[in-house]
Amino acid sequence: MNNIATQRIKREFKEVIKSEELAKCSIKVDLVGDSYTELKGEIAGPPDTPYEGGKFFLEIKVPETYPFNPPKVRFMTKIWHPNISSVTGAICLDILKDQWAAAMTLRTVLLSLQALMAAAEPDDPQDAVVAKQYKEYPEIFAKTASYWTNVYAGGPNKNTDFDSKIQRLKDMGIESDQARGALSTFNWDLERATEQLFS
Amino acid sequence: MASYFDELHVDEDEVPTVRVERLTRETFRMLFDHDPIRYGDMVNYQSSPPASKSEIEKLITPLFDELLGEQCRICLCQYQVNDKALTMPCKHIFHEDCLKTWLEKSNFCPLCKFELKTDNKMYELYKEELKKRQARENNIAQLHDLMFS
Repeated sequence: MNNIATQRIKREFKEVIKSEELAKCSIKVDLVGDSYTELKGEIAGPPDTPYEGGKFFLEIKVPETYPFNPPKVRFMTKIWHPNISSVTGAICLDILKDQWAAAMTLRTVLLSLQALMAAAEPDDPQDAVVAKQYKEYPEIFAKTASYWTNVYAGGPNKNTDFDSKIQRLKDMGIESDQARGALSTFNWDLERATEQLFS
Repeated sequence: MASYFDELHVDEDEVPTVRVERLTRETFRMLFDHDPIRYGDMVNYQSSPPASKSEIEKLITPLFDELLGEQCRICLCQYQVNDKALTMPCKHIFHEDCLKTWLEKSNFCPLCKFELKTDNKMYELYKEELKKRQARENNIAQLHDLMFS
């Protein structure tokens, strides 16, 4: 990796460590191995959102051409959000693509992602299914996102109704992540989810 | 083909380059009218073109006083004696090498998105068209306020 990329990441590390967000436990960056090309990010779900109380981990890959090109970032923690793929964790955010600027840092990226979690942009979706639910059934969306936060990110809001529906599908031999995905997609309509899974 | 040119009010005897430019402009206009959000984005979302070489050459060197105790926001290093730096028209300062590497890729200031001119004709036409549209909308808004306030 060339010098400027490594040198910059090292400096940014200090910046994030010193930052007040770290003190508030809201964002964090860790090294993965010895190289500075792969990092692990962590963001706390923003307050007053379905993600509140959850901890979300991110895979950050720093290209050799950093900071002239953006880092490649993906959610490792499964999340239900219109701009993040519920399957792969791929993110649709302009600053990670064409709106990147060389003066942006890992700290600004993590804070932007936190802002994206608080204010989704359903008209520019990464996950069309989630975006549709967000627009058409906002209450179901909020419950589903909060439930996913509980299951995958350690959030506080349990949902026994959803749990029992998943159990019904598990009894039929469906694996739990798959059952959760299908039920979330079909707005927790057990019949339609079953139909889709067995079609 | 004649009717197509007629429709766009293009004189077939026009010098070809002028005609191409007018047609491009008309095409932009039609796309905008058809679906401004989508086609505005279409041009916008192709990552911005590099800054024009002549524009980069015009950038001035800051005084050493301006660098004292400051940090280049691209490499995040403090300026040292003998470091070469450049000032953007928006007054933001960066190391010469850092800024040139960036401007060879994108035409805007990494801090405030101030745009330098590019050599990409399409992009310049698009920006001009966008500016005109905004001016027109402002005029209409002003007129509206005058009439109804």
